[in-house]
Amino acid sequence: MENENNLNYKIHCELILVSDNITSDKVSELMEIEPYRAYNKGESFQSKKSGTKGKRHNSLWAIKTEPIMTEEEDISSHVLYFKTLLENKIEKIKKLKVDPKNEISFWIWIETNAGGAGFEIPETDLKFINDISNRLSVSIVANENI
Amino acid sequence: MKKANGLRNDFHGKIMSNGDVLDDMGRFIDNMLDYLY
Repeated sequence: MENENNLNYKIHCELILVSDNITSDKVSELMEIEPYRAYNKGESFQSKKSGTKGKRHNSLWAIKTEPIMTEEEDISSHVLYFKTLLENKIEKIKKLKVDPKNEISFWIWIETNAGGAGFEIPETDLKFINDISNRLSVSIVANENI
Repeated sequence: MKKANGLRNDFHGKIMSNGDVLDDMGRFIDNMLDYLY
C-alpha cells in the first residue's frame, strides 16, 4: 500500500567497523568522527526482552546516513554523503580495512511498502564502497507503514 | 540484529526459545526479540 505522498522507499546506509583489537574511541580519534553508535570489546550488556547478560565479543564503531524517503531506490545520495564525510580520510580507512583484525561493512538498508526493490550502483560508487569497506550488505525489509 | 552487531548477513546463530542468539561456541550474541517492532 502506498503512503499518501507516494513515497515507497525509506533508505539509509551505515558504515560499520567491527574490530578485535581497536577500541571505538581510538577509531573516533583516528577518523575525527563521532559515531552514532559504538561499543567496546568486553563491555557488558543485557537483553531488554530476555534479561540475558553478555559481554561484547568485539568493538564496534558505526556511522550512518539519515533515512531518506523516496519514490525510487536511490542509493547514490547516501554514497555521496559518505564521500563528502570521508573525503580526506580514505587512506586512514584503507589502513583500518586491511588489518585482518578489523572488518568494515557498508550496509544498505531499504524499507519498502512496495512489492519489491531493485537498484544499481555505478562504477564510481562501487569503487568508493570497495575502498572503504571489506563487504557490502543489503537488507530489504517489507514494511507496510514506512 | 545482525546490523546492530556488525554480523555478516550469512551468520546463523542458534536461536533459543526466549530469542537469545548464541554463536557456535554457545556465547550470547544478542536477543533478536529486542529488535522486533
